[in-house]
Amino acid sequence: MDRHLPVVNAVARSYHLSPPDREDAVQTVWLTLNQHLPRLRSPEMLRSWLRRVTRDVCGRQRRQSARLQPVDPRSLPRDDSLRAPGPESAYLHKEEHDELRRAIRRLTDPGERRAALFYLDGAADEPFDPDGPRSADGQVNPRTAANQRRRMLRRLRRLLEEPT
Amino acid sequence: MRDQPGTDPLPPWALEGRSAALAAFDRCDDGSDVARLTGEAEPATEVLRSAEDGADGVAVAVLRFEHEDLTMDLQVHSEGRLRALSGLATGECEHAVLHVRRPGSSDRLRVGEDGRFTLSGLARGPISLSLRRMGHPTVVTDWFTI
Repeated sequence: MDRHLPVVNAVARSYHLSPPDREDAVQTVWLTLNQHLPRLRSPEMLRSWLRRVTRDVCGRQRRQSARLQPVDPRSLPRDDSLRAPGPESAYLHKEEHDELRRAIRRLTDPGERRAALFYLDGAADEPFDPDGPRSADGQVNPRTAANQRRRMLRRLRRLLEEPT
Repeated sequence: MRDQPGTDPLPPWALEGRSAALAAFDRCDDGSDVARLTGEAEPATEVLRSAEDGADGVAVAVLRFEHEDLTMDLQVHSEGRLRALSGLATGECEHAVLHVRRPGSSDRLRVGEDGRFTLSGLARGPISLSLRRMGHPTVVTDWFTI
């Protein structure tokens, strides 16, 4: 053990752990050696075995310590996954979406149904031009499209307000 | 390590931890089977609902040890300055007794019928678990640091 202690200590020091963490890691290495001693068949490999185990133990220790290291939140990169809606708001959103879809199914005009589904899901079952009706020369009449949308929304609102 | 004539003396840190290293050598569990560390995962950052005041309850490590039919999944949590372990032993674990091995000490607890066990208030440092089951040789896990 005296022969290999400097090697283990040198590898452990290279990980720049805090002194207590380093002491724990080094002791874990010797405890591991004690446990594996009856199974070690090649004494000439002991040095490299100890190096490997020390690296594994110190690496794990460093990862664990890093998880508990206090950091300035402003220094953290923006994590968009933290801004994702939680399960409750996702559920409410789905409920709202389903209710809207049921109301759209009750619209009598097939064109309006397709248009509403397009606005809701971004795609309709059947091809639909979101720009609304076009004149013979293929130009969109913005006023007609806006009026149709307004009427459709009014009918949808009425359907949603009806008691089910 | 003895200094050889004509070689540089070792720095003071080279022989640090000698007494702790010597204390590690103990032949009590030589006949046991060893459950090797086969899996290690980064735990999701979460705060345990059971965390007490002043404890942060952050999971710091998720480890898996396996030996033949036995699998032990462990999660290490931070409890302020202390650590807690929650584990699940799968395999034949009826009436199993778990020994918590620390350098120089050992505690025991019974594993639940579903294979679950929890340990809290653990001081930081090396730890190994030893599982004794009816009709099976004792299985000890590799040492790890909490």
